[in-house]
Amino acid sequence: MPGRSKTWWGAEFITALENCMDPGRLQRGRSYARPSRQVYCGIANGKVEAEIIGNKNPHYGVYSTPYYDVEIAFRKIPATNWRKILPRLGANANWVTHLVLGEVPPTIETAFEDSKIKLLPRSRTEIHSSCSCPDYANPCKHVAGVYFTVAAMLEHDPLLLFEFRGMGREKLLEAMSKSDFGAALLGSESVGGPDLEAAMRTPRLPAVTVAPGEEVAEDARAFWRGRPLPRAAAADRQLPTLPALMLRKEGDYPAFWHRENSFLDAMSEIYDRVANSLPSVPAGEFPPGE
Amino acid sequence: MSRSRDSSKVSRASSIGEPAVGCVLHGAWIPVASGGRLLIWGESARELGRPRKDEHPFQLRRDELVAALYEAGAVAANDREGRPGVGAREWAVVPGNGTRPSPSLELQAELEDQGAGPAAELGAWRVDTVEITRLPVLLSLFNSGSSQSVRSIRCGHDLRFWQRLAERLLWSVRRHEYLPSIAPVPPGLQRPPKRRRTKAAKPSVRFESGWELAEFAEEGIVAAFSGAMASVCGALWMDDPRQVEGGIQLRDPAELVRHFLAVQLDRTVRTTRLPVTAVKRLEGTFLRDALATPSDSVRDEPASRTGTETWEQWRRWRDRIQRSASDADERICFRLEDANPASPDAWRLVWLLSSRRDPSLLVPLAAFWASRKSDRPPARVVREVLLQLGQAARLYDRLWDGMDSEAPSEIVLDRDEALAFLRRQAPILQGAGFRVIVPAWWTVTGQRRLRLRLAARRPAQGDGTGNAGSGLLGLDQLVEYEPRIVLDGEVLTQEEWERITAAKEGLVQVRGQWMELREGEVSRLEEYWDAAGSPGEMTLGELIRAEAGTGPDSVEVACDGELGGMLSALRGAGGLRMLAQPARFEGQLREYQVRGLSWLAYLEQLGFGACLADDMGLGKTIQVIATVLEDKNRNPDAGPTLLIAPTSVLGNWQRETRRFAPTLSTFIHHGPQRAKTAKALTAAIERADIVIASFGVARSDAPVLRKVDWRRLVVDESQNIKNPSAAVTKAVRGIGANRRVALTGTPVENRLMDLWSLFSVLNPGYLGSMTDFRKNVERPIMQGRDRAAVAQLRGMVRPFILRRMKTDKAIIKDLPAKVEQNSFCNLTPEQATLYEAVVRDLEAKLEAESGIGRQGLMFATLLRLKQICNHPAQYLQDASEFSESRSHKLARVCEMLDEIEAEGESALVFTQFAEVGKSLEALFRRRYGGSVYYLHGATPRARREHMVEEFQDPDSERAIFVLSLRAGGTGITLTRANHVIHFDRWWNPAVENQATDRAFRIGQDKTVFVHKMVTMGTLEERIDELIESKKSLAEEIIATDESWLADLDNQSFRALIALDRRDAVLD
Repeated sequence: MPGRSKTWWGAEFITALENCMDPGRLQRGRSYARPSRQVYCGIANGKVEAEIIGNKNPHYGVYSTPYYDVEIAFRKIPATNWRKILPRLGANANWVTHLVLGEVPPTIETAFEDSKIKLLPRSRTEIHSSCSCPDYANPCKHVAGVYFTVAAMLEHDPLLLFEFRGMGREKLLEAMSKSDFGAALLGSESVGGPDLEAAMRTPRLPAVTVAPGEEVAEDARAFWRGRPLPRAAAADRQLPTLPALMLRKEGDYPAFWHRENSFLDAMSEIYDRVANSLPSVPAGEFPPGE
Repeated sequence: MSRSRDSSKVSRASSIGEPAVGCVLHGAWIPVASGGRLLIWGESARELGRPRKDEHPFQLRRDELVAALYEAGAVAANDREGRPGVGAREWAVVPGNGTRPSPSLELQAELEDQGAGPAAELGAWRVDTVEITRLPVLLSLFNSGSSQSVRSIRCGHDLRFWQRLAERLLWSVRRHEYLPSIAPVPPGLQRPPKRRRTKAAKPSVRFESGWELAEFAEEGIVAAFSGAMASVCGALWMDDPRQVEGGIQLRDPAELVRHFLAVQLDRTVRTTRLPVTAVKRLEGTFLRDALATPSDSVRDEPASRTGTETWEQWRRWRDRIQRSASDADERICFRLEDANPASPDAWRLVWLLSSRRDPSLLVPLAAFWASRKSDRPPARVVREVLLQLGQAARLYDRLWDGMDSEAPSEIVLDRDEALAFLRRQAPILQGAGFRVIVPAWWTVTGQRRLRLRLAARRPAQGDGTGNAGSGLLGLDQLVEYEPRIVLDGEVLTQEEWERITAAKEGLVQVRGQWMELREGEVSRLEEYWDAAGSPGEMTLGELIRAEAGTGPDSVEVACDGELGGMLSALRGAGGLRMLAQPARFEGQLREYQVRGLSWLAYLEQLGFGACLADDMGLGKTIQVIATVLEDKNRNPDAGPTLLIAPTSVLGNWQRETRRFAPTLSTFIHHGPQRAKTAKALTAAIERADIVIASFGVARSDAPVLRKVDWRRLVVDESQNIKNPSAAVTKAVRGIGANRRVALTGTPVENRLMDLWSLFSVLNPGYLGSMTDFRKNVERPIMQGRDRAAVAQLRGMVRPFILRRMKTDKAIIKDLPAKVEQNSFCNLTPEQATLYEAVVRDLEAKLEAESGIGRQGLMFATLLRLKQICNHPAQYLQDASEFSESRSHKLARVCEMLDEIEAEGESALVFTQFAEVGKSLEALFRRRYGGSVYYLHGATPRARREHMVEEFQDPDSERAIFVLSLRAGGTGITLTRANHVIHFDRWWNPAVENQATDRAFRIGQDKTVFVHKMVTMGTLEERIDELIESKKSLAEEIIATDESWLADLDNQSFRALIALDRRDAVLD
């Protein structure tokens, strides 16, 4: 079951929904956001389509495990509006940078100020949902469950919000490529580096190759002694740092982290404990640059 | 593991191998696909009796190896896994001659004779190994100080290499320079699961989690270390290397370093003991697997559901971190620029684009964006810039404020923010791979310092200070001072100072420039100001302490002409009035010796105790003799000087004084017949100018010596009073004299309590009480490694210590390339008794013999007497102890070698007797560890060449080379040594000079000091006189052998060998 939102926009999305429907009904659907309840949940043409496993309920005449089709659509922003919004978006370094980092820019809605419809849903009329279950209430538990799933998807992929509003990913990137900063979004989607097959061929540990050792035998000095070792030099003072500093560059809750607790907090504790468990340096310290 | 277990190991260790049998520990890394093993193996100087097939004939077998490891200081880690464990028998690839391995360079130095000829090819032999699984255990080896026992075990270069690499790796781990990683493992390479699975799953890709170094860290380490690696570091193999097609192979250094780093990083992080709660927070992710140890109860299913998707997500994440840290050439740089005086809250933090490959390339982002109108930058670069800015903003939130712009290029900070940026954010951004440029005044070299300046001057003459009349100022003399606040030497106005005190802390602008007021700096200054804010008085000692920056590091002293001149003269900054060489001084003082004399005389005149700490060989003795003579010339009625020295040099002092200042009379206060009361002593020394006593006598006769009115106290070899609570130190401290001089050849400034002890004699009270010193100086320095405190202490003692090294440019200029000195010593009573017996024996026989018989008797007598002068044990041939206490000459040589060793220098010791050479070698090995060589007539040629090569190798340890005069006197080059000691004398100076020339020849870049040992009042002194007198004649006159002795008549021969008891004996 998805827990609390990990990002401000995920939280905002749920709050927005709570404002336009009965919060109690919405909360009841949480358990339907579990993967075990969902046969399928995907997005096509800006619409969310899902197949949810319901409960047997003789009261409603449901005697075998039912499967329900859920559909959710958001009101789209007209293309004429997009034509005004997108250049504004692409000219703002703050917004583009947030998107490059995989975040929703906190001030994004200012880009939509001329548009009647904003990026995040505000009113009931902006959302259309349907479910094939016999429950007449809206949202039913199944639709509510899909809402939570969608909220979780948004947290990792803010560009979905644009898709819901009628601006598909490809169209968006194409439009952006013409703006000053927006071009930066282009590369961020592609996965660089070797694929799995290639990665598998690279050994986990660096290979250590060998060479015939003939010449060495003649030079016993080179064999036994090599060249003078790098010196350990003293460092001037303890530099302030942040635990797990490198990891912080990519923010909290990376894509591979499915837990509810903070990734950075958990890792900071590990990094600090590892550093503190090391033996104290005897002579001096190495300079940062060799 | 328990303590008792440890100690049992240690005691076992001590039973192996005599110190003379050296062994060497080696370390090698065996890389394997799933990890790697760090194995220790060892070589020893003794050959195995019955080696197994293919066994390395000099290897340390398992038990010896484990014992040697503990002796070398291996500490057991907390857990069982860390204990050095017994490894398998492996193959060691080393150079050899086909059938036998050659010893390592380290071991060659230990060997009596060369086992194998020159190495011709690589061979492989089996060795026992011990595995080290934890880096702390590796680092503990040879690291527990220089304990005596470790000296018989040497650390191989290869083992040192792995230690240094491990230290460097841990440095990066401490800086958090690593990331979690995932690696896919193809089905073929997977290890079978520990337990049988319940259902047979089809093999598929499995993912292994671990840790990897930040790219910039790894590249830095590999670049620094792979070039330094010797082949032996990777020379252990699990399979017989001889079976490999194409012959024996060696591993690639850079790859071996990378492999070691990868495995050890993973192992270090993985084996850290973590609380369950910390690990629980990672449950269900690949990170949990990255912390699992092999001993964890491994469930059949991996704890996480690491699959292709997780791997791809991790990959994307990793690439964005690692790339922006080092791969992409673009690198964002932040530069903080000073606020304008008019707007102190406008600090621009300017963003620039720089290049990783060419750091000189710096383009402000403002210019970069401006150029895009004409020249559109590639999308990739824009993306790189925004990504890095965004990542930086994640570490420093404030950066977002600059992003709401068409051309994001800077933010503006207020004063507090600028300070916070400098103190905290700048190092954080740097540590994450960004470049940061801070204002020059923030850097260590550019810092400006606020100080309280005390402008001091001597009070007007005749103001009633008691000392003025006596001529001696002393450290208690009062001086007047006026306080000022200064910034980098400029006096601040009241208004400026008030502005600073109002700000208290942070960034302020003074005289158009920004500076940082550090926490507590201003309040500390205010305290001083309150304490010394108005004109006042202090003692000279306090003034010198304040000038050295003691305690308050924000106080400086400025002095008027007279005091300033005094302080500058004391600090060697010029202004010291040079004296002429004193009248009636026989000989010629070198320029620096005149300076030493002038300095000693100046400090005496000021009433300060002085420590002359010149290097051995620069002539401390004659500088002191000249000082005494100078004083005597000026004050003919001056009382006697008490000179305390080690017994072994008492005679030398007397002899040198007689030679250089014949008008000074000396008196040795020694022996059972010496004066026992102050009255008797005063009477005995009535006409003496220098009274010489040993430390032992100084201790036992302290009550008597204390009652005599000494003009001056000189303490030679003052390291003898380095222990402040030793009886001898207390005794010396109790002897009063207005003038106090200490002499030492070893550096004194580094051992804190030694220093205090020395000053308690030289300038009592100057360094405070022992308790205060311990609390305020020693402890902070020892615990905190407080560099500022060290510098302050140095500054405080420097005016009283004159130390010239023979490598000083000014000294070299003044020194000839070769300095020859005689070192005179006495005989011990045992030596004297033996000597006299031999002389008596000769007397009885000489008249009866003639011809060949007479000549034989003469030669035999000479031989015996020389032996006795060297050491009783040599003459007696009774295997009795070859100890320093039985021969002053030997004691003196050991003292000299102690100093040479402390300086890290090498020495040659020549003797004409093989048996003495052997004894000396054994003794020196006990005293100085392994680096002692002995070359004599029976040394095989190959061994001889090896010794010379190893000795000359600049990377090998400094060493002592004992040589027989005949075997080592010609042919070889030993220019590593800059001291030559002639343990006994030869008739012909040409032979001695030829021996000296082993060190004094082309390739020698230091001054060579030649020390000739002469026992006083004996045959040896006569030989010396003979050589000296013949020096003016052509040197060939004396033949190289002793045949000319036959021409001496009985009378002359008796005179040659007679013992002059007056000079000779000292118990």
